Amino acid sequence: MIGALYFEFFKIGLFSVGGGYSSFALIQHRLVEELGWLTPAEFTDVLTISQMTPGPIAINAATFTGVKTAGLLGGLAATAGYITAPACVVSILAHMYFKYKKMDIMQGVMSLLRPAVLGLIFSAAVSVTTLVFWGGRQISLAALDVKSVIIFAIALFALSVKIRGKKISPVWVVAVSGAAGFLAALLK
Amino acid sequence: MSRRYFELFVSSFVISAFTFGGGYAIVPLFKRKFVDDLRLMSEEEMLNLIAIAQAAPGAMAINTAMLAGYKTAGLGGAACAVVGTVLPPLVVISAVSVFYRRLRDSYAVSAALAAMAPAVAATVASAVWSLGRGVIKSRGGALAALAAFVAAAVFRVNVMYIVLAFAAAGFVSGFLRPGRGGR
Repeated sequence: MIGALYFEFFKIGLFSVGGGYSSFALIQHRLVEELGWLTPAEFTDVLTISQMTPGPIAINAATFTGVKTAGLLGGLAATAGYITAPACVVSILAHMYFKYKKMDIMQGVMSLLRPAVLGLIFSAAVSVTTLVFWGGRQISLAALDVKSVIIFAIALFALSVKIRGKKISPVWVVAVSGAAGFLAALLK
Repeated sequence: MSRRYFELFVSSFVISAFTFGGGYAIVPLFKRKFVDDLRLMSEEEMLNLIAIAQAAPGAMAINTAMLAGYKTAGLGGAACAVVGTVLPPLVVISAVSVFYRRLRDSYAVSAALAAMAPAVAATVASAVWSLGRGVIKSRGGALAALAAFVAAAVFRVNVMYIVLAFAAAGFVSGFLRPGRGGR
């Protein structure tokens, strides 16, 4: 089972193209529909728990699936399997990049890729912010989640001010808002 | 050297432990730690590494951590960064796998996550703002950023293909205009 988990997640890691979210479709197709290692309800739990727990979601999904099917060792095997192929490809690309990064052609490629990546991050910022403000509802003023907008504004403000010449870390901004939400729920 | 390994491990561990949600949620934490605090790389180099991370299969967050480790301390550094990134999910999920249904249904936990989501969105927005000021220096750069944005946000093109297309475009234009290197 452990070996099979490693191998299945090796393939999922290899074919996850374009980020962690793409792994979910592969997990669903292979582990739920073809192999039946997870029931559809358990798969929904994998989705939910991956987004609730800290860490990159693909790693969370691999760990949780592994732990559910074969305990702690299963979690380790699935995670190790998932990162094997990306680690190999990244090592090769890293080797090439650091070897040739001073070359004109490489600098030209990178000078085009940097703004492109920025555009991609901006696109992610827009989609995550609309999701937070409207929660998937039709975008309108009435449907706006006012509480989220207020937290967003406070967080943005906290990220821009300096205390003793140092900016507040995003780690703190995320941690404090989570703790505030938790406490508010307990006090209610 | 071993101090550098330890530093990489701890930094990746903390970044991973405070990344909620997928993909680019890691960028602001990564920039803060590796660029602003530890000064291990410039903003430009960070974006280079993110681009490379997305040209490979797998999760962008773990690939970027690996590249940062590799840059700082070679293959050993990459290994430290990977272990640091993987450990928080492994510990947390092994612990909660027993009672995850209670966690999932807990009102206080969902309230904490609901409060965290807008804060995470704000960290990403703020990172885009500060990176944009440093990286976009020409009209061509602004155009490239806009094109990538439209491809991802409007046409929902897979990010790996976007990155590969821009890499190919840069490569070809570098050959057509030798010596200038796109600068």
